[in-house]
Amino acid sequence: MSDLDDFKATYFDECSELLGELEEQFTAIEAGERDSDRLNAVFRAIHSIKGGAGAFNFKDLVGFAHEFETLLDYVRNGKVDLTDDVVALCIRSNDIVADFVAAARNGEALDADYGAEEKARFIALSKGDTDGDQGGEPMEEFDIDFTPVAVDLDHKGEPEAAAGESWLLRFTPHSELYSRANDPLLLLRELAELGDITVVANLNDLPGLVEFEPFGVYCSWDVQIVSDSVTEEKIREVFEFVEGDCDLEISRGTLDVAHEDEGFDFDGPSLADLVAEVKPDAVAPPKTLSVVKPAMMAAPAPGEPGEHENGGARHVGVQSIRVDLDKVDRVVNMVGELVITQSMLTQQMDENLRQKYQELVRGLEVLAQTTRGLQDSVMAIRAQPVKSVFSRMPRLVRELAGKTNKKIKLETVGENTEIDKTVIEQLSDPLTHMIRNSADHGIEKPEKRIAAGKPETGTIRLSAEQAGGNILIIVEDDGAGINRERVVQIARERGVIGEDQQLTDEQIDNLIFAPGFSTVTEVSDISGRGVGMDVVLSNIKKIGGSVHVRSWTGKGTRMTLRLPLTLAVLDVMLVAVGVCPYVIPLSSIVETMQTARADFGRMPTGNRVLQVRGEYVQVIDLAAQFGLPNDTPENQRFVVLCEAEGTQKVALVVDEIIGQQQVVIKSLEENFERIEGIAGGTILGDGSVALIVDVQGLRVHTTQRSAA
Amino acid sequence: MEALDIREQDGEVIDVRGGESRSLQLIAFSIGEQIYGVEITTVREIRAWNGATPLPNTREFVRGVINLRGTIVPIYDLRARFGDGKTEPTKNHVVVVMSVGEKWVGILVDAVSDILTVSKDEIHAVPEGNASDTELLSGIITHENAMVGLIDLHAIVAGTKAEK
Repeated sequence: MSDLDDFKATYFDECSELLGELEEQFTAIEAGERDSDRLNAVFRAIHSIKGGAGAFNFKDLVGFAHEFETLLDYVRNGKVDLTDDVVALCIRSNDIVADFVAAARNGEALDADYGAEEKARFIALSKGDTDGDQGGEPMEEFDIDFTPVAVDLDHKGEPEAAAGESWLLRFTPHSELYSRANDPLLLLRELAELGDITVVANLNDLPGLVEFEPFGVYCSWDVQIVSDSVTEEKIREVFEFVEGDCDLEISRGTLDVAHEDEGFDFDGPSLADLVAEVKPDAVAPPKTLSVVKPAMMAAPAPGEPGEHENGGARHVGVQSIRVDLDKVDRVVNMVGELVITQSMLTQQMDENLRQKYQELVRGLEVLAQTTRGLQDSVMAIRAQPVKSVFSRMPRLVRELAGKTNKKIKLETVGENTEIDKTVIEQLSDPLTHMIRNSADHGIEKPEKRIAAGKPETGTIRLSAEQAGGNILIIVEDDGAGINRERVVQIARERGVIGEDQQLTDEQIDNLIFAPGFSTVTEVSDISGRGVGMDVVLSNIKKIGGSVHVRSWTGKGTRMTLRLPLTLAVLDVMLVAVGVCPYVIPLSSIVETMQTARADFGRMPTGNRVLQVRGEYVQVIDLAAQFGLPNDTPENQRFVVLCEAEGTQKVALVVDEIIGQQQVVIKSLEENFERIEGIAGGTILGDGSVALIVDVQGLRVHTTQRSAA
Repeated sequence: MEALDIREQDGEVIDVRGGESRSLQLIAFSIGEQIYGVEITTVREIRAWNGATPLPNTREFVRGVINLRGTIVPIYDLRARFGDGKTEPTKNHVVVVMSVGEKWVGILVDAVSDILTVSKDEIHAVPEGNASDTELLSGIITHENAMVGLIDLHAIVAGTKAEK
């Protein structure tokens, strides 16, 4: 991979983060939080996207982002009102930017007029005020080093005789200031916010061309600030983040204007121009790691001090690093192996050895603790709050409400619940489908809701919570509930269930997850094409989770996703079936019992059912199911009662229960292929392979087989 | 030492890349009297049979899976694949681990017999006849008056699911 490709990859990574942030900010803005911090954050994000795009010459993206940014700048400066209309436009434009970014990433071209309508709106809105020039920076500047040149403030050379105190400031940056990607221009612009300023560049130290060092620092500035309210403290505040990287002399007084021209006489007039051209390079740190960075840092900041604080905070220290997920995965895998090796070592210690080598035992105990700690820490690296997915949903709901002419509000709870990143990635699609389903099928039209005595606005509640080794994500609505008659009728029509099959309410509710199932007779562009809920099921199953739906007629529907906290390590129960070791995920086990004590019943077909606390549960004999010979007497075997999807239980009969342990899940598909009833493999302490029982898959598999 | 890396055989350094392009190096192994071969570059390692965890609902020629340094690798019983019944493996039986496309697979054979260098011109087409022969072999080579069947690895690993 070339350096440029690396930069690009970094840029696109950053873009996805920035787009996520935009989404979040706009959601807040839309909700009425229209403070300057948010606007600045939005502006910065768009600006960074544009800056990077300029560096890689993504012209369409730059063009669109530029107009977008211009509008935002006007909004920020209060020149354009942030009406709901404008917010809606911004949110739509956000998507367009995302599309442009995606197109650039994939090297595709979008239609030439893509986003043209929005772009025209930007321009029209911006046109209302074209006096200010900050927002309208010409696009050409946005090449790799787009930083505008030298000091070019409007007030230059106009000594203000206005009332107020006059402060004099000499600002001499060191090279560190530039290498930390700060830009004097920004600081000077910020000074300009404090009052009327006059800036004179000191070019006395400028060497001749021969000695000229591209990264050298030759320029300092004298600034006169005239204002009623300026204090030395306020001036120092501007330079807060470059403290130590520059010399600052602050005094009261006025600028000697004659001084101004001095520098320009130095060595011919053309040199100043030349320096001006070279200077942007000096801004970029040598061999910059990321071309995007200077652009990101250098958000033109004629804005509020808050802007600077945030921008500056990034320079202070490295708060986070970007690491390839693959690398983290490798560490996670290795730590998993370590945990297993450690538990194997512990198992090797018998009483005899314990007596003999007490030091060794102690060492092993410490090792066990440390490995646990290491494992938790490594898992924490990959854990992320579900917020990153939840934050996309408010907009979805808004769009859906608009399209369906319903009034819907979204409540989110537990956004800070953390889940493994790999799980989070798989969560977006299922959640989208579930919310669509709630908005389209669940929530009724306003008239209907009023007629039913419910508030006009429907509520969809999205919540996340941790429950033991699982994360529960619940999508709840206060709509009409599942229309079971319709569901059964359609399921019969489409052959999802047999003509005479009788189902419980719960079974009917879960039919909505059947492939090709949809209750809406007319296909809308929201849902109803019959893809959707089965995607939810398959996506969630893929990551070892389960979906459960419960509905109350007239009151609403609740869909619960049960997800594993992590995909890397699994707590399991090790059992033997015949001579083969199998493991069953502990999270799905309800209880275990000896067959001798189990209360079996016999079905007409000869199949057994287990009666447990008044419930009849399907029995699967794993030895028979997997075709393994076993000679354990029937009454000495064990029953492992497992919870499959929702509250559906299934009783697995095994030959022996060996114990609990933690295992690392290994894919069978990597070198082989998927096997029904098996969720994967794992390696036991003795190096042999054990297979992981897919409880849910097994249940479905046997049900289908007996139906066929 | 149960694993034996061919490329590090004592005293004899074998050029895995096969020197000139017209020739081909094969690992030859036997099943009963018959000799088969696979291209040496596909072979990752050779190890003694040490049991495998059987996989349910698969055809009988899938012997199960083994742990190869943390990766789960399926083992195919070549004798059973050729329809000659299951091998009764002993410690003397050998698993040849090789890569097929992206996947790593092991095949269970009776013994590894030789490393052969043959010219590509010597490869004969498999005569028409039994469909499964032409499917499983990609060519035939004569070596010291014996017939060596060139295994088509892709065909070997296909069709593993048990028929219902």
